[in-house]
Amino acid sequence: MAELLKSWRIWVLFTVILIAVGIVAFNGLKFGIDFKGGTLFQIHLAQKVPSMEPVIQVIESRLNWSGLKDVRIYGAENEFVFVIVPETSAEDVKRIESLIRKQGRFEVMIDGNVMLTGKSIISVDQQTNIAAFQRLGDGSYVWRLPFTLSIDAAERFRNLAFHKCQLVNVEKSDYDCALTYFFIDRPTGGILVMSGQRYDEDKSIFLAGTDRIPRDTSIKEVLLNAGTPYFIVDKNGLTSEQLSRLKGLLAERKTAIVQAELPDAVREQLKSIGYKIKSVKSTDLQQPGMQKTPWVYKATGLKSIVRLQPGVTGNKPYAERPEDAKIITDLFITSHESSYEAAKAERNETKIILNSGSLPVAVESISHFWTSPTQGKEFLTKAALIGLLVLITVSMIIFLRYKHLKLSMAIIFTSLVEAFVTLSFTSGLGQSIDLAAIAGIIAAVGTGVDDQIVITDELLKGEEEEHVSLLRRAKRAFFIVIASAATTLATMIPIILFGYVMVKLVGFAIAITIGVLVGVLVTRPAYGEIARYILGEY
Amino acid sequence: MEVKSLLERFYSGNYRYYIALPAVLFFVFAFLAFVNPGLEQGIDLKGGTLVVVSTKSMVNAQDIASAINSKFDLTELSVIPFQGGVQVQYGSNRVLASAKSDIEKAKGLVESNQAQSLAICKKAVSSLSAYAKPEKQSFASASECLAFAGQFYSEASDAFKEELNSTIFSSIGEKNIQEGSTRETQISPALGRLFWSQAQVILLIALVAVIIVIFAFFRAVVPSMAVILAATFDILAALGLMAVFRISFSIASMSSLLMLVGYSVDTDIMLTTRLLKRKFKTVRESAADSMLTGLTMTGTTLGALVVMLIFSSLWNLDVLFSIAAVLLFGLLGDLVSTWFMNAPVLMLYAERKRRRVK
Repeated sequence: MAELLKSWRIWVLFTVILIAVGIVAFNGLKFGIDFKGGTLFQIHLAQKVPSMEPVIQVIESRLNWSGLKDVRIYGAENEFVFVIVPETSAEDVKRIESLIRKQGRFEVMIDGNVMLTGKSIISVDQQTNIAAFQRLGDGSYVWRLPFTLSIDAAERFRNLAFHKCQLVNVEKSDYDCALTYFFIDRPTGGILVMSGQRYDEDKSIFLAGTDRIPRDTSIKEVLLNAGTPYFIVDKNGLTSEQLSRLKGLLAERKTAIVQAELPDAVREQLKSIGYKIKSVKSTDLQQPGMQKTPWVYKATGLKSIVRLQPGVTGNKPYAERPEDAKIITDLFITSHESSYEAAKAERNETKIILNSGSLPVAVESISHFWTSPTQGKEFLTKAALIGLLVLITVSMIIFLRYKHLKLSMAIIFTSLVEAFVTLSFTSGLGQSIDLAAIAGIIAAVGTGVDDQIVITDELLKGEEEEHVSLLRRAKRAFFIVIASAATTLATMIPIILFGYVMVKLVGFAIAITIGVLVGVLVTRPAYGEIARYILGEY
Repeated sequence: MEVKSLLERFYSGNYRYYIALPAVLFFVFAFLAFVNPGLEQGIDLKGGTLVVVSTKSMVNAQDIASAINSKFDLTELSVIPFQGGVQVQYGSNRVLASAKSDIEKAKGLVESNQAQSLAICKKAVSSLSAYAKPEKQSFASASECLAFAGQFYSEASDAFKEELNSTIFSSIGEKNIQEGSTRETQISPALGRLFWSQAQVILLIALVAVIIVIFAFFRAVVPSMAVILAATFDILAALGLMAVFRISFSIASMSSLLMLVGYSVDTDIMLTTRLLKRKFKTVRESAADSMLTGLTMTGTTLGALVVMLIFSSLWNLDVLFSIAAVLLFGLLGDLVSTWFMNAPVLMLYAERKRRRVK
């Protein structure tokens, strides 16, 4: 034993084990979402952006506002964003997805012109005396979210609103004022398709007014402010004139927002000329006993319609010039949901979106891969059990082959050390341990066992090749070990360098690379020493 | 040693005929992987569908999965229960997918071969009738059939979704379901395109790097090509058997294919070194020696994989199961490629070289 301890290779092994123990003791192992539970969101942007920085910032700020911790975000190829959120429940996934999906373009429109945008806002949900929620007679809830405009934006608002009221009845001092329309994600790149019946119904809801819609609202004006061309179809689908107009619009508008109740044939027609389809149901807010919501309201992202007041427009008291009219900096956005919970969620989401600002482009699609935390834990236990069983199996095979207890134990011990050191270093270098990393570690240790078999067999050749020293034979074995390590690295390093989209593959490749390096530099030289010692040349 | 004499006998005859086995298998595996039945792409590459149903109490995933499997033929079905609901995810419906590809095929043929186009289109309609009743079954022309099939496909796929939902509902039990809380989302395959383009770059660079490394170590064309060919064969074997056992090509199986390269070259490099660098033994003796070492190497790995396969299928660990299965397929291929192809090629090469030296 004393002879063995003279070898520097053994001391390197001890040192590395100590470091690995230290990393685990001080930092612990960082498990990824496969074992801890969590969700990977893959977000595809509608078009390439020149820089990912603003996109990542907006998403980051939205997730921070919603109180999520340890979120990792990174972009790829200027059109993909990956978000990893640990320990998410199914509800969280739904909430996060809806938060990220929105581009968050806030706009207030008048007469088809943009009055205010999200950039005009300097603070949201400041202290005011406006009630945040109000229950209506039909059991639904109205929510209100106050916000403050910058001085520049307030001036622009004043100028655009100037004299937008008309005195209709001098005696009663009754004014007829213009309407302003509050949108989030107005579909500027879309067109609307609905049935004639739907259009008529919407028209009459707008005219009659509801708790959230002022009376005498004209559907035409709503559509003008939405800035979205619309098409009314009958049972026979789109006419040839409509189709040719649609083809002309395709240069600027790619998405067709289609009333979900329309027959599939309409969607097929639109798809065939190149539109992307977004179906919007018209029934969502129409539970029995509740006030109806026009389909157009939902389809265009309209949040509220607010009638200007003569006090704001400089009509009363009468102002000669816009500069003399009152400046308003505090406004609020309001909308309406069927229950208190829904209203609360919607208000909160709007608040987060106004606070974080808008994404430079829209989101084309989001997919997510979710692991539940309980499932993850169960997974880890089972994976560890399988690891143990694998270890026993491999030990048995090795013992059957060599029928030499000490040698077999040395192989198993070396492999265990290699697995532990690789696990610890992988986690220590910032790679979270998930299934792919475990697979990588197993692979590295597996090739490690292979190498040890090669070393052992070279050393065992004693009977036939007595004139070659064990040292020479160990060296020959190392040629094989190094050649196979080099090929493995040759396949793994390209993944680490170029595979950044394949998050899981990168984790796998990093784990293997660390494992192979640990093997070649530390455990295999040490095993060579131990095996030579056991086979008795000292 | 008895095993050893057995191994020595393995290469005592005219071993060059052994190459016929891998040569034939090469085409068989290529056919299985790329023609029939062909590889299926996983959800991460091709997209899929996700159904979330909220429930009042925890449900049994196994019951739901077996109820779905007994009725439908879906790729990559996974059922994950959680507190307050269950998530059912699948790649595609094999019946619908093959009908869709048939319709596309028929569309492509409609100009050039009317009769064949009509036949394929009819076949698609009849396989779709598993989900909905077609209004028409006889068609005068291919274009008439295609016009109908397009519409009928979306009818059948709607009907399938409804049937799937009702299967999920009845296996959960109507009482346990929270009303109005089913959510269905399409998983976007947008990343698939990017994944492919990156995978191609990586594979190309990795291939070149491996060739350089192998050449650098052996400095000879024949042995280097033999190692690379053997690794190619192993990957093809894994792909072919994946197609047969319907394991999808996904990011997880891609990682096991890359792992396979490592295991494959291990035995090959050992064999090559022993055959080319050991001069005081006959080539045949060296080959038998190497086989003992190589079989021990592959044997330990195979043993480990079989254990992983058994327990991961017992405990429903899908990802682990597919990783283990792919590696197992590849290593079975490696036994053939190393000992029936690589060894004979290298032995011929070494014997010729030694004769020249003498």
